[in-house]
Amino acid sequence: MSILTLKDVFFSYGKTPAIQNLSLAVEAGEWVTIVGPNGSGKSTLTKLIIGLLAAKSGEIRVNDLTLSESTVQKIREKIGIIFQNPDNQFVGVTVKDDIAFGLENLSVPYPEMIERIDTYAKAVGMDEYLEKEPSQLSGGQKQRVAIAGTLAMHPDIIIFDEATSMLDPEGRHAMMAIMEDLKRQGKTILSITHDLREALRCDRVVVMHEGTILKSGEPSVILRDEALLKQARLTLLEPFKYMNELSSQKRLTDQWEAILWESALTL
Amino acid sequence: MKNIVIGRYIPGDSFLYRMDPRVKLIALFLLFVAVFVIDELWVMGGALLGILILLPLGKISLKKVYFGLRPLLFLLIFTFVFQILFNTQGRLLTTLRLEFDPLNTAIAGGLFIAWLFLKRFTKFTFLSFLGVFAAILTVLSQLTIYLPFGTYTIAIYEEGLLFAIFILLRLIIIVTLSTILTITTKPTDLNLGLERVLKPLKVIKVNTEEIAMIIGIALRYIPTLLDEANKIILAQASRGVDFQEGKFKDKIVQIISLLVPMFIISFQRSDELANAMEARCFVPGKPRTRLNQLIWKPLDSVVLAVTFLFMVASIGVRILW
Repeated sequence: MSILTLKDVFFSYGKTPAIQNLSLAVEAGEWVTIVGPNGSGKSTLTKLIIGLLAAKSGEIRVNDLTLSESTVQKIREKIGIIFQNPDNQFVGVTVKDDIAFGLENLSVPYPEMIERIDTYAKAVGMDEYLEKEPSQLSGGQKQRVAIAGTLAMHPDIIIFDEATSMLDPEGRHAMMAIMEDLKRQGKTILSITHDLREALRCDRVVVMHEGTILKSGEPSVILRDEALLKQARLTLLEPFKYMNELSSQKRLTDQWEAILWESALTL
Repeated sequence: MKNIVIGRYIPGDSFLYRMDPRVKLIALFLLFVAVFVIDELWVMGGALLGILILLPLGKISLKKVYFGLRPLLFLLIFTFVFQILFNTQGRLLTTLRLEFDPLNTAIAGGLFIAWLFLKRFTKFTFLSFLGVFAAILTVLSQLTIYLPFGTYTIAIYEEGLLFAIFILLRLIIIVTLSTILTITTKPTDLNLGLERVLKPLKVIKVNTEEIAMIIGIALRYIPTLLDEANKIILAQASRGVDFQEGKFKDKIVQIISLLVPMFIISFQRSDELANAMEARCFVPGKPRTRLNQLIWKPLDSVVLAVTFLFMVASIGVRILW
């Protein structure tokens, strides 16, 4: 059974539809990346999943819970979200306070709280910054604190909502490394982005356009599909351009494909 | 703009720093009550002496306390003079005579106008002007005895003087005590202490935890918003807004060009923050466990007992003396 299921979800801001009859199923342990240009409804989707917005029609299920007014708190406990702006999700006065914020909300007892803060600050490499204030941290460090705060709540699904879009390359690479790490640990990841580089390592790419899913599939297939990406107003990554070029000239060897794939991963 | 200090907390270590913020707040309240109750000069003097002993023990320099008092200097002088001038109870102590005639008034007026001009060019301060003015006035009042323009007498009464001294000492003690509190307590600890101390208000449906959360988030976002304000100032300056110079009318336009984007940004921020908090299972009013635990130490009990006894003693003196 899928860990997260969306069935015919429809949502509109006023008269303009933002999500149109969207259906999606995410399996446990799967890393799914939703890509789409600005205004394709990606972030609306996050808000629908954790009930910050209510869908006009359709059904959202997490494990065996159907999202409704009475289950929204239970579902929020199962889903952790890392948002785009590192500053606007840092609630605590210090790193320690911020990681503790979610735990305080879940009424985790004090000794366990301390333990979890230590564990997850270490997991994201922020254990030496526990007493630091947000103004003393870089954007990437703040995002890592947000991840620690989310992981400490032991969610079943972790959603990255454009979490790297405000970071410098270094911060973005660190975030990607953490996501790979989480995948290895068997966590379910739903990553939402307009940056195709972030879709390289995942299990499945879902291309969104104007509130609907255009296509979904393995990254090696989707990321090379120039016509599809063009339709979704996304640009092909450079290595895949060469790959397609070589392929059209019937010169694409396995070796070339491997080299170009490797070079894409370093982007 | 990094590492901006909110409040007046100055890092340090002494028993005042180690005290529980709850105790500090309760002790402060008890001492406030005592200071308002005291009506004997020797008790008040004793309280002041106590504070003077407390400061070096708590490793707080007089200079820091003075910085706390400085913004209130005008208020202190004003209330003191006001009491002396207008309180006419008790025994008449002494009278001061001030005489005005055309000559010295004209000279005084001329001096004032001269000062208005001079202050543009020199660092001739208002206080030094007053000094010169008073000196000349005294000399003149000795020289010209005829043609009185008007004579004013200032009568000082015993009660008025006593009252003035009491009010002055009260204000000084209260401000000094609050300054000690803000210097030795981190804003977050103060917030936490306040939340715990005000907990009994829950009986009358005041949600102290929510208030503390609001104050906490405000404390957290002051540096971020200051940073934002600086960015906007730079952005507007690069578009030709000059925040340094200009007439009053221009200043208003400049401030609007800062305030409007600040408001919009703050609303966006708070919206995103609310989403992030809800996503992390925050439900207003729901019971939460807390990371910051306050630990009651023996020292706290001692301090609380001493201040409580002092308050009781001051009430006792007031009733029995």
